[in-house]
Amino acid sequence: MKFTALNIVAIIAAVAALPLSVIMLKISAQMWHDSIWASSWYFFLANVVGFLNPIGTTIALRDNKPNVVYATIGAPAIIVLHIALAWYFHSSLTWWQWLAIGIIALGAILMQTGPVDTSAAPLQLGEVLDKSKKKDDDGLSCNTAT
Amino acid sequence: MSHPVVWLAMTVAVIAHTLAAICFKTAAQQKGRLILKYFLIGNIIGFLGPLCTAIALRNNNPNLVLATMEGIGGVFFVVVLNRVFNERLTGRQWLSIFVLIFGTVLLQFGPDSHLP
Repeated sequence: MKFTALNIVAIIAAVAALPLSVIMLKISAQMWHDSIWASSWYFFLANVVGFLNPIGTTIALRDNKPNVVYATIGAPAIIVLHIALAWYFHSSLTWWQWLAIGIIALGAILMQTGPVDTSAAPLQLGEVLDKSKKKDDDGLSCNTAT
Repeated sequence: MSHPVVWLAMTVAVIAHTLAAICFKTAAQQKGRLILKYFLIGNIIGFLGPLCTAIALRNNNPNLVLATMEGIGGVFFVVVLNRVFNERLTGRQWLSIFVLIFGTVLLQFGPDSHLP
């Protein structure tokens, strides 16, 4: 991972964007009954702030491997997100629920840090559709034969 | 989180996220105007994600809603992309799918803490 100044700013922006955006989404949802205007404003802000996440990820992806970038951004983003939400909204979760959240975060981190299996050639969507059409045609011909 | 609307909103958000990812992946494989077409479709479908997340968050604990969506979404996303694009999963990724399912199921056994 190349830690240039631009990459560090991009990673921090991408990590910070997620909890900030979700906090604004939650405020927007809570304000819905009081003021639709304020709720829409927070929804818009949440989307603008959240947009920093793919922007930062794209910048970080320019010089680095995807699995390293997703792990570097994804893992802290999940942890920061849950701590920020619990702190801001005073969530009263039991230790059991924190354990479950920790296990889910572990699963998400495992998913993002694993090596990529490139032994199978990835299909394009057109090939996927052709394959399913061929399968349907085969099914049809079997039916007509019987 | 026991209300069916919350579960419906979380499901739609997860499906929208996955469909949008398929559109973006397809856009990246195309040439010319088709790139823009799939990119736009991906963004239109993907917009349902934050919309439904906001609905799910309305009267519920954000930690529980988002952790559940991470669990269900992570598994659904990887399995669908694996089926659609023929991308094989490594042993670690299969392990992470089981960890995500276990964590999501475990989360549902805790008390349903509502926020004001």
